[in-house]
Amino acid sequence: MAAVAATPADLPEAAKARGQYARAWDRFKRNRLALVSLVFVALLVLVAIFAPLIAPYGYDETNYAAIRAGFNTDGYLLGTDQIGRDILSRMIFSLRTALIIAIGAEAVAMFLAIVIGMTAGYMGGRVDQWLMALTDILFVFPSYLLIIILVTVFGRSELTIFVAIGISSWVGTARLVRAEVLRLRVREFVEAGKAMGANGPTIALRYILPNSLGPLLVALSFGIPGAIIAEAGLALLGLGVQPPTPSWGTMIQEGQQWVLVSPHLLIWPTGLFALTMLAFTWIGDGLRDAFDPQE
Amino acid sequence: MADVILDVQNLHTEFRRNKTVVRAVNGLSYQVRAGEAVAIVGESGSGKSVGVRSLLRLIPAHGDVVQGKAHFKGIDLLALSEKQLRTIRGKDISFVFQDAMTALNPTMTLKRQLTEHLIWHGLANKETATQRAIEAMTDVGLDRPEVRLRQYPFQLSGGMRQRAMIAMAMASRPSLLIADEPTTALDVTLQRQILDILKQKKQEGMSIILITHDLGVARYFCDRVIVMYAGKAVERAPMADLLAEPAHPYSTGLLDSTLEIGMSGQELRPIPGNPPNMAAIPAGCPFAPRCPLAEERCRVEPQRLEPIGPGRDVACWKVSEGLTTATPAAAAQGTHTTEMARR
Amino acid sequence: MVTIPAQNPLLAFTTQPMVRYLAARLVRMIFSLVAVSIITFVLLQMAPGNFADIQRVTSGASELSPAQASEVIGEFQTRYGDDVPAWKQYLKFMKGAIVWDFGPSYKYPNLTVQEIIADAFPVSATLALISVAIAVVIAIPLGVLAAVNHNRSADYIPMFLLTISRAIPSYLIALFLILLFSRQLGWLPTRGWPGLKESIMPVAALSVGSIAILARYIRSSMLETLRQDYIMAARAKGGGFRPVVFGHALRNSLIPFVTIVGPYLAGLMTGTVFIESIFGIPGLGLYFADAARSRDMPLLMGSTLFFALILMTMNLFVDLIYRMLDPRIGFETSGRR
Repeated sequence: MAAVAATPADLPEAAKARGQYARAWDRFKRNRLALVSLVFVALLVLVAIFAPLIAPYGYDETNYAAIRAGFNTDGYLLGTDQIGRDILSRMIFSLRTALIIAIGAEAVAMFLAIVIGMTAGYMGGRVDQWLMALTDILFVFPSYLLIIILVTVFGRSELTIFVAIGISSWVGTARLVRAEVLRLRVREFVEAGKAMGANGPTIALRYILPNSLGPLLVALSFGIPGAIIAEAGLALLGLGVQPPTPSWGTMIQEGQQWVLVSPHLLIWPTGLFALTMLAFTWIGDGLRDAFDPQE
Repeated sequence: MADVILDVQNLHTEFRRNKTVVRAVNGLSYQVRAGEAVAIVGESGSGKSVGVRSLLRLIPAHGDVVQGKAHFKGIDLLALSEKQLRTIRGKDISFVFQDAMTALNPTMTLKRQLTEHLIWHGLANKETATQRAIEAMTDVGLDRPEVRLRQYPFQLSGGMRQRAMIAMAMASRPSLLIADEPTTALDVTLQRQILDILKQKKQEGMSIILITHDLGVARYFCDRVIVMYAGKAVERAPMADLLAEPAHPYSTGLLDSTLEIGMSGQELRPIPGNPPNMAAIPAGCPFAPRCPLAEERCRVEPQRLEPIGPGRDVACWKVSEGLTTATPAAAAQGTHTTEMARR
Repeated sequence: MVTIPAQNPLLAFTTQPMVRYLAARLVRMIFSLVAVSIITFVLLQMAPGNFADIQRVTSGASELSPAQASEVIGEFQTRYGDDVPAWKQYLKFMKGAIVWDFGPSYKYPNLTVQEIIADAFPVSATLALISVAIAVVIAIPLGVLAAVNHNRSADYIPMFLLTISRAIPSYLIALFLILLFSRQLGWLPTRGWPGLKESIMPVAALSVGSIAILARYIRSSMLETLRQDYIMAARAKGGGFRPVVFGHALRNSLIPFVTIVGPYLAGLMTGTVFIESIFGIPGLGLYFADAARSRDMPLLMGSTLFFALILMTMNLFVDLIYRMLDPRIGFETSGRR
C-alpha cells in the first residue's frame, strides 16, 4: 500500500486527537486570565509586525537637543534616552527583536527536540542510548554558559543569538518527545499504520506527532519567554544584539546606568518586559491545565 | 439493648462538587453490640465505606455528614469536635484498610507506625509502646517482631504487611475495629489467614464491623449482616438467616453472584445493570431498575425497613407484605455479562 | 546510557552496592567532563583568532613586569602557540586540568585560572547558598499552607502572587528593587560586596524567584502526598494536624523536593551571573561574562569545566541524599537523572 492519505485505521484516532484539542481549547477559554494574556500577546505581536508604521520615530533617531527627556515632553510620549532616542519607538522595535529571537530560538529548539526525541524514541537501542548520552552531557552544561560561549564564538547577530539560545534549550523538550513516542508507539493506531506499510518517518509525523502536540505546546509557551529572557540577559552582560538594533536587554542595560538620575529609562522597558513575561506564564499555566486537567 | 456499643441512626453523608450533590449515604441505620461482628455488604459505590468513615469524619474535605446520630458508648460521635474525635480515633475505634501497601507510610519503619498512636493517646511511653507493638505483632502471627519493627513496609510480603496493619490497629486495644475490605487485595490463602485473625479477635470479645462486597468473606465470622444499596440498608439480618433465605431481591442477587471461599464450581449469576447514579437517585426503590420483581409501585414508592422476623428487617414492600418470601433465584434474569464490581 | 559494563574486572572486587554505584557514577562524571571539555574546546577553536593572537592583543593592557610578562608569554607559547596543533593544545590543557592547573588567564595574566576560581567561586556560592536557604525557609511553610488549604483563599492568593515572581527573571526583580530602594527611597546602595546592606538586594532578587518555584513544587508534592491512603490511615489512628502533616506528609513530600533543590542550587551558582553583573559582585559569573567579552579562552574553559563539575557533584550529592531519605530506593538500580 502506498503512503496512506487517510486510512480507515487512523480516522477515528485523528478524530479523537481533534476532540482532545477541542476539549483543551474549551478548558483554556474558561481561564479568563489566560485568555486576556493571549489577547495581550497577540497585540504585542501585531505591534512588532507593524512596528515601522506604529512607532512615531525611528529606533536610532537621535535628538541631542532632547536628552533623557521626561514623560510626554517635546512630543516624546515616554521621553527619550541618554542620546535622545524616543523610548516608545525603541520599545516598539525591541518587540520586533524579541519576536525574531523568540520565534527563531524556539524553531531551532523545537526542530532539534522533535528530530532527536523522535529518532531516539523510535529507533531505540544504540541510537537511543547515544542520543540520551548526548542529552545527559548537555544537561550538565549550564545553559547560560553554553549560550554565552556560542555567542562569543559565533558573534552577536540576531541569527547567531537565536541559534545559540535554541541549541542550548532543546534538551528537556527532546526528552519529552521521546517519552511521548515511547508512550504512543505501542498504541493500536500506530500498530495499524505500521501494518499498512507506513515507514518510520511517516508514522512519526502522521500518527505520533499530532497526538503529542499538547505537551509540545506547553513546552513552547514556556520556551518563548525563556528565549526572550535569555536574550535580554545576554544584552545585560553586554553580549546581546549589536547596537543600534534595539532590544529590551540593551535598553535595560543602558537604563541601568542612569537609574538614579533618570529612572524612566529603565521603568518603561522593564515594565513592559515584566508584563509580557507574566502574560506568557499565564498562557503557559492555562495551557498546562487545559491539556492536563488532573489538579 | 444494654450492650449496644454503636448505634447509628439515620446517617446522611453528602459530597458536593460544583453544583452536583452526591448523596453517598442516605439514611443509614445500624447497631453493633459488644463482642459482635457485623458485616456491611454491598457493591462498590453503595456507600458502605463512607457509611463507617463518616462516623469518625474520615471522609474527603468536600464531604459532609449532614444528618444523623451515631452513639458510641453513649457519646454521639457526630456531635463531637475534630479534637474530641481525635481522642477516639485509633484508641477506641481502629481502622484496618484494604491495601496495607498504600495504607502504611512507605518511608517510616513499622516501629514508628505501630507505636506513634499509642504515644499520641497517652496509652504508653516510648519503651512500653514498643513492648505493646511487639505483643500486637505476635498476636497476629508476625514472626520475629523485633526484626520487623526495624523494617519498612516494602520489605514485608503482602500478607505480612496486612498483618502489620492489623497489629497497628490492635496495639491500642480498641473496643471496635472497622475493617474496610481487609482481604480484597490478597489472594485466597492469605484472605483466609487474615479472616482467621479477625475471627479470633471477635472470639476474644472485640466488636468488629467488616465492610466487604463479598458475602463469602462476610459469612466467615460475622454474626449479622447489613446489605446496603444506594446509600441505605435494604436488609438487616442475622448472617445465617440471610444465607439460608435472603429476603430482599438485591440480597438474593448478591448471594447468587458470590463465590464461596474455598468452594468453586457453583454457577455465578451476576446482577444485571449498574448501581444508580448517586447524584440522581431514583424516586422509588433505588433497586427497581435492576430488580426482576419490580412493579410500578416500586418505582414510585420509597421503601423503608420493615421487620419481617427476629432481628431482621427488609426494605421491600413485596417481602414485608408477605407477597413473596425469599425471592427465587432470579430465573428471569438475563445473561447480562455485567460483572459484579470486584471492589 | 553510558555506564560501566558489569563485567568490568575493576568492579568485580567491589561487591558493595553503594561502592559500585558510586564508582559507576564517578566514571560517568569523568566521561561527561571530558565531553564538556571537548565541546567547549572545539567551539572556542572555531572562534575567530587563536589563543595566542588574542593574548598578544590583550597582554599590553596588563600590569606585569617585563620579566613576568615574558614568563607568561613563554607559558602561552608552549600551551597554545601557533605551531602547536589543536589536539596537542587540548591535551596540554587537559593534562593541566587533571592536576587542577588551567594556566594563566589572558585578561589577568598575573593570575592563574584556578586562582580566579578560588577567589570568585566562594562569592557566587555564598550568594546562591544564602538565597536558596532563605527561599527554602520561606517556601516550605508557604507550600504547606497552600496545600493544606487546597482550593481555599489561603491556597490561591499566595499562589497567584507567586506567579508574578515566577514569571519575572531575577535580573528584572533586581532592577525593580533598585528602582524602589535605591532610587525612590534611597535606602540601599546599588553596588558593592560584601556588606550586609549591599547584599540585601542581590539576595532578595535571587530568592524571590526561587520562593515561587520551590513553594509551587512543595505545594503540588504535598497535595499528592495528602491524597495517599497512609495519610488517611494516620488520621484514623488519631493523628492531629501536626503529626499527620509534619510527621507523615511533609517528610514524604520533601524527598522529591530534595531532588530539585540540589540541581536548582547548582544552577543558581552559575546563574547568578546577571545578578553579579548588575550589582558588581566579584563572583565567578562576573568573571565568566568578562572572559566571554574579552575572549579569555583559558578562563572560559576552566570555569565551564568547573561549573559542570559543580553541577554533577551536586546531582550526585542529591542522589545520595535521596537514596538515604527514601528507604525504598537502594543502590542496586543505577538511577539516571
